[in-house]
Amino acid sequence: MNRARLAVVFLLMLAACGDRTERPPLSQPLLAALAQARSYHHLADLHLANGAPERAVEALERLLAVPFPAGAPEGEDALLDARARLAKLHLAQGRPDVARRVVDEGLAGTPRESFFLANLYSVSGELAEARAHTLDAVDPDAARAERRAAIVAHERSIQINERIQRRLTEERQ
Amino acid sequence: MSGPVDDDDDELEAKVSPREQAEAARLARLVDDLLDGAPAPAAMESETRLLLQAAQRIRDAGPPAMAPARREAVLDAAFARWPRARVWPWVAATVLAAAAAFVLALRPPSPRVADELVSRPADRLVGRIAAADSAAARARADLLYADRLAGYRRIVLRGGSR
Repeated sequence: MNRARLAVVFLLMLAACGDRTERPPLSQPLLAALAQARSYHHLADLHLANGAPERAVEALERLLAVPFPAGAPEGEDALLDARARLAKLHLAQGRPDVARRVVDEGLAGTPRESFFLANLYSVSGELAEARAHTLDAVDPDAARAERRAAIVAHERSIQINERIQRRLTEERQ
Repeated sequence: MSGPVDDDDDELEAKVSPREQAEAARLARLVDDLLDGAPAPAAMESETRLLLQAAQRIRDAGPPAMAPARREAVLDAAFARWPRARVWPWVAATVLAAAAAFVLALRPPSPRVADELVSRPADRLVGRIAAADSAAARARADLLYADRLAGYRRIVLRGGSR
């Protein structure tokens, strides 16, 4: 039993020694992926300006497939931002269900809290509000449920924003 | 049967009345005599006779029988040394862990890279996203790219490009 305890202590020491969570330096693959994301946003803008929202949607969907370096926080942030824009575009084109899928996939695959995640929750709330508005006339109960979902999403967004803001303030001090 | 009472029984004994203790001692003497081969008294209470008969039957049955293989296994388990096969993995793990800790301790610390030169979340750069700017991802993408490009250029200029 003593031997087991000793081994555990050694392993903990080892973990402590190895716990050097160094972030990788900025790299060419990261810059290339960020440049691609930026280009797709510009492309989407041009298509929207030309009155071709479907082409803008295509551009943003291609952005979602940009291969960011694994674990790069910038990549996660850029993809969340693209999802928020794409969802709003789908909603504006009368496709609330597609917009919901785009948002939910982003929320489900992102454990790290950020302003971008809070923004996506905010868009999620907007989608629920829009859905409630369309349900008001046909199904008041469902409309109320959607409004409750919207409230939850907006509150989540506010909480995340507050936590991130607090953390950034603490880091600055 | 008539030996000293175990310490564990002190509490129980304290709750037994003197009369009960005397009765228990008398019964113990009868059982001891019976086990020594003395005949049972001719006259006794029926309850006492039943107890003596139970003691006699237990004595006649002898010790519980155990198969030889089972007995050997029990004895081996009780007296065998700790097998070496169970010790060596612990020894090896301990030695390896100590060696790894030693190597890590001797490893020179890697030079600290400035924050603006590493991959990191964009929260500080972008700030809180207002609802009105929710879909203004293009502006944020521009800002993020410009910031990271500036950091990357510094890495390249100082010869640390990867």
